[in-house]
Amino acid sequence: MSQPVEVWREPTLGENLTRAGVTRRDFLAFCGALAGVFALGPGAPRASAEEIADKLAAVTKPSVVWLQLQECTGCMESALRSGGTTVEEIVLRLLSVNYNELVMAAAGDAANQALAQTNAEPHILVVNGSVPLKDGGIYCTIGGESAEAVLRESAKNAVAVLAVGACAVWGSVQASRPNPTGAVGVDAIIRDKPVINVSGCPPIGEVITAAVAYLLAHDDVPKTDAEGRPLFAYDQRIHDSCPRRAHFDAGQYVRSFDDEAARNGWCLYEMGCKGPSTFSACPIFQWNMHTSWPIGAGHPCIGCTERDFFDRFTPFYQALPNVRGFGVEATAEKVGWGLVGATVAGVAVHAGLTAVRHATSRKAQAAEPLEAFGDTSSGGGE
Amino acid sequence: MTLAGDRIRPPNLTIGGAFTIGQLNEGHVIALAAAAPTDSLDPVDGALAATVASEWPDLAAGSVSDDEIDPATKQRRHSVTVVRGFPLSDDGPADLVVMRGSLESVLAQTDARRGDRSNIRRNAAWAERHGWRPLAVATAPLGADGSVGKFSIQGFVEVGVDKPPRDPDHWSANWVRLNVWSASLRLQHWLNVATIFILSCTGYIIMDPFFGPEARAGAETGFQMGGVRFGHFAAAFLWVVLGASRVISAFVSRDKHLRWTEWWPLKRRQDLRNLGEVLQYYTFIKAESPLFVAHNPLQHLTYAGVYVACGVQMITGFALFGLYHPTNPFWALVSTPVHWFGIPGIRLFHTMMMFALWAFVIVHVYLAVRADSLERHGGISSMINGGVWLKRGAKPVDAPEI
Amino acid sequence: MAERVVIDPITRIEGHLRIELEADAGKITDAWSETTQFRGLEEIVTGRDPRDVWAFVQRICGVCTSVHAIASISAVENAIGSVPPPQARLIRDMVLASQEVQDHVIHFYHLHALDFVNVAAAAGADPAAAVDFARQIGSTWRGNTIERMTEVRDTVEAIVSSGQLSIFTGGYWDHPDYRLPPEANLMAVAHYLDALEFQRSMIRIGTVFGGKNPHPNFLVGGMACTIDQERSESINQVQVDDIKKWIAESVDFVRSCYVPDALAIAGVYKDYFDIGAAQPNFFAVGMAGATFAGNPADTPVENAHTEVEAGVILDGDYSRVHPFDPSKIAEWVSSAWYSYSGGDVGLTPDVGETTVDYTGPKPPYEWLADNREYTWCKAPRYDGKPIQVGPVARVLLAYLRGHERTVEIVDDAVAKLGIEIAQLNSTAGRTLARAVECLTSVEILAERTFPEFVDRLKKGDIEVFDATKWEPSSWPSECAGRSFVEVARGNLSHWVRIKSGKVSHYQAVVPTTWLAGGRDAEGQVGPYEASLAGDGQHPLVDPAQPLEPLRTVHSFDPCMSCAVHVLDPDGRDLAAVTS
Repeated sequence: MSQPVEVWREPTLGENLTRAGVTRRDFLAFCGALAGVFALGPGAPRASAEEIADKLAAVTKPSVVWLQLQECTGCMESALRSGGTTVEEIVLRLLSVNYNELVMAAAGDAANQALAQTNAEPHILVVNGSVPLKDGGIYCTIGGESAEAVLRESAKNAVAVLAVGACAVWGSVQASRPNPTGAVGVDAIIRDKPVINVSGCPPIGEVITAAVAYLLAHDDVPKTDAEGRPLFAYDQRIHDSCPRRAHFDAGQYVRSFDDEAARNGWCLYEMGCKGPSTFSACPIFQWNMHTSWPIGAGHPCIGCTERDFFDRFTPFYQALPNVRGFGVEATAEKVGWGLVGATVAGVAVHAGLTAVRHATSRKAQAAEPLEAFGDTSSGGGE
Repeated sequence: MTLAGDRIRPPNLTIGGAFTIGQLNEGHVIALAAAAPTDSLDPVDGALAATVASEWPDLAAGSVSDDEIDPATKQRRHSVTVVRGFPLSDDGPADLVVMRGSLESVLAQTDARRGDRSNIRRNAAWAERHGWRPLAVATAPLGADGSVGKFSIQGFVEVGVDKPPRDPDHWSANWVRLNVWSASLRLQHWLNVATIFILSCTGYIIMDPFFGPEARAGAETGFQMGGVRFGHFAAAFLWVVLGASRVISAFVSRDKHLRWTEWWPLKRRQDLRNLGEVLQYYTFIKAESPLFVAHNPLQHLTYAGVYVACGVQMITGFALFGLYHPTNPFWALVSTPVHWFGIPGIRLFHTMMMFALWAFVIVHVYLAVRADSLERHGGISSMINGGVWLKRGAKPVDAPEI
Repeated sequence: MAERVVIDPITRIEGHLRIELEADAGKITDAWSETTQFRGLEEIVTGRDPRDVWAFVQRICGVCTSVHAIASISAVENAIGSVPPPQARLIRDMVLASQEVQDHVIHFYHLHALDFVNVAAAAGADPAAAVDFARQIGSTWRGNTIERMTEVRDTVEAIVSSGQLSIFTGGYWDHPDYRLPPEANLMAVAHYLDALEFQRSMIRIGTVFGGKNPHPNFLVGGMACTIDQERSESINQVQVDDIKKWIAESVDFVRSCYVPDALAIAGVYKDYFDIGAAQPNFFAVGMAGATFAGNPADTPVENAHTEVEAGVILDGDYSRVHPFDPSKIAEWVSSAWYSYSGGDVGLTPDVGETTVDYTGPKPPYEWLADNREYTWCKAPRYDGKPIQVGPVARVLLAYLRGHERTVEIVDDAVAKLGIEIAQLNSTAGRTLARAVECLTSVEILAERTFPEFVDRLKKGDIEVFDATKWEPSSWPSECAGRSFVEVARGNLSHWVRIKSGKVSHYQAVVPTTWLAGGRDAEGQVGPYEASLAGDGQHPLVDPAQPLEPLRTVHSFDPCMSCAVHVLDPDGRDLAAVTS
């Protein structure tokens, strides 16, 4: 499933490049092109290609391209709220995040240059947001390029691809019925390398940063489940590690929000909790530095780490999805009982018809009174 | 005067045949039933006499005198007639008293055994369903002193209004018991009933744990839902074992009714025609359906569908159950459908399948009861004892002539 | 000869914005604001259970998380007649306030500050001088220590000397218009990092009540979080203590760090009070956080923000406030990739329609502005005029309506900086207004909303949910509702129509739409465009390093995902139904 993250096998970029067969000469040519970009501070002399080559060769931090495609920026906001490996730790110490639209200093051409340069080297690719494929990609363009083109370009030299958030994993809300922009997730586009799906809408901040830190700690992508989600955060169903599970097993359910049971923290199953259908470590890690989590704050889980949850898990406040079709929509229970009722009615009608048939044939016999059966009293006795 | 006079045979009356239960054979019963005054205007008498004349002319030898006839009335729906010189056996002609009339009226005058009563009633009911009126016949010996002995029931004659004449080959009607269902199949059937019942009850509760919030006061509720789920899982495993044994027997059993070939009934063009006729029968387009000892093609198709539905229930159920063991490769494989449809999708499907099975059970029970009450073949008891009753001479589609 | 300049992506904003400029001799002569992302969420929620819709529309934006959810549930409650208990409203109010404070802080430090602060230059700064500088500008922030400044300087130095600049890669660090002294840059970078730490902590107010953040959970009819002082499974004194602490932290950070920093930057870049003016028309329905389930004109205010009434300021006339009339709102698609069935007219949101009609080039493309249509963003107008919403609109409204605390803070700032009230309509003015508003908001949270919540809790008021209107069977078969909420970026309204228990029509009129929209049929430019090219005086020294236009665009706090939405093609008149 996983493949090693090759680039950082050696401690520095120089050693890695040598290992990858890039000559000093090629490298110098590349650095010459970069010379203008690394002039640091006002008035600082523009660096020579030689100096840049020395600096770059000594690079010890993996580069990161952190794209934001068609999305709401909630995933970056979640990363900003991570209390584990903090975003400042990632951005300033662990990695060199050379491109991220929300936090990067440069804009426009300078940003695009930073992206192109990083794309040219091996790098880690983190993606927030979906890719709208419909109508030639007009529904999300960055720097005049379609989101798909941006993603493909950045994935070319990526040594690891993290799809962070529901949009990047499967398209999320904009991919929900009727998906007007044709939004898809990263793994629908990038098929030649494994995509790690850090799912959630948004994922827990700590999980996002841990997924990145995992790459650094292991030189490898995390082990994943069948849907590409890292096991370290998605191996358990919420229902199976929920502190309210005891109430579920005991048959203690909240029947209405803010009722006595709700105040006692009973199980939200009957309120439509999607915990039984959702793989996520929410009850374990909790949110925002262990402050609380959705079920802990009394609201049923809406299942945001699962594919298509806006379609498959709605209505959110019902235990089962509705049955749709023929232009009508009703709860599973209603449809089920309707089916049973219709069957009983059908059987009753059929039985009635059978009885009518039978009675008719009897009547036909009775309509022909026969003396032998005593139907008529033509005989002696009265 | 004879029992086979030249009385006018009414064109709209037909004699179907006779069901016999005593010592007399069919011809005897019909001939005795034909005992009537010479000048009788009763069309039944005419029909009976004509039948005796054409089918059993040698039995027309008895004589009846008009003053020894006590006709049926509305209050007493049977007649009593003295027949003399009836060629009952090779020993020579005998004199006897014949009681003839509606079954219940005649039965009341006899002290037939319980088994005989129910047998004759079942046959009479079957005849009635098929448009015949059963004209019961009982006889009593006539003593030399003119005393009348005990009446014993002999059977009944089928009298039909506007019925086509009976195929002469079928004159000898009687019921035959056939053993159709093997004990293992019956055991499986009832174990299925039990497990599906348990799975349905527990499954419904899992879908909607409606049991009351009585624990609201904070009392210990124990492990209600846990218990329900345990029941569901335990029954599920038993059900899978059952399903597996059924599949195995479908391939290894020599019993035709267990073989997998039974699951697809449409092997010849005729099968399709039979299916059409069965459908027409159930939709009241045709009055009669082709006769099947075991299952008709519609049943075969339905039951094959039920097998598939049950299989799907097992697959979806275990896909959900497998989620408890995501790291176990076997259960991960079993849970694969979850990745295609999502857990709620699988749960919804699992639930709707349950309702569909309920609908099947309702129709199934109804049609079983209906068929047994219309055709009197003992289909319901056959689900327990394995045997069905068929009329002698019947020509079922799926078995040689009885 | 005018030079064409494209800035795409505009970074440090929410979503995707492209700005195309024409510049001549260091001045911007023309500008086009181009939104390049479209998602169509309102189409997606049609046919859904109205009780679910908050979760969909909350995903309009993750930066201004919560606000769309609250606007949605308020609109649905307005439609079905559900009345959330007072405690539920106070809880929503606290979540909104904490979101707004966090949003403003994030915007100032993480999205906007790098327009003024030269990170690279902080590398050589003297930590002691930085502490001194902080004291001079009146910053009493507890992070202003030599140890902290040294630590931050070392971090910056390590990054700069490594050659791997991370998020600072490609920044305009040699741009001549970075004016802060090195120690000020160092202090700002330190506060940049402290602000990250701060927002991470205080945003947990939303987590306590909504279970997670971003995108906390809300509930039509109230809140799902139970409150009960006598139960461990409900929110009780333990969480109340946490919230109290986080609110205190917030007041401290805003007062001692954010406001002094904003004032200091405004002081250094004072010419930006004369740069970036957009049309001097403003509207707001109250102060930040004001929430109306229904028309503001006839709906009782449902939270602590009762002091400032809705109003409109027109044509730069700061002496009077016009009453707000929602029927004067119209949206134009003259420059947007939509078409109206009735041609190029302005439609009120009540009768809004949207049919995607993309006429732009197929990507990749170089230049869009030659086309008449160049954006996914509609152009709303009030009484035919482009209008500004957001902190500057609210602060001006509160100031003109005489809100005491606002008047006090604004008068103080204006005096310190030596500017006029009218100059708040500028790049620096919008940034300053945001800081002013952040302070009043956090004070209202600390002094009114939270104490009222605790007081009610003490008195045993623990109801947070109106169950009477939960079941769709209790709703009218057809109904419509709307809500108006003053959120971080300005006035937000959601409009919903419900038929047989399902959403039949949904619409959101969003702050950034007002600001980022393009030209209308009369050729009037939108506020972004006006701020950049309105007077032909906006500087752009080096087209390769478009730092100055970034400052101006960022001063609006763009939120592009919010700005673009699609309406129900069957949109019909709502006005007759709502009341």
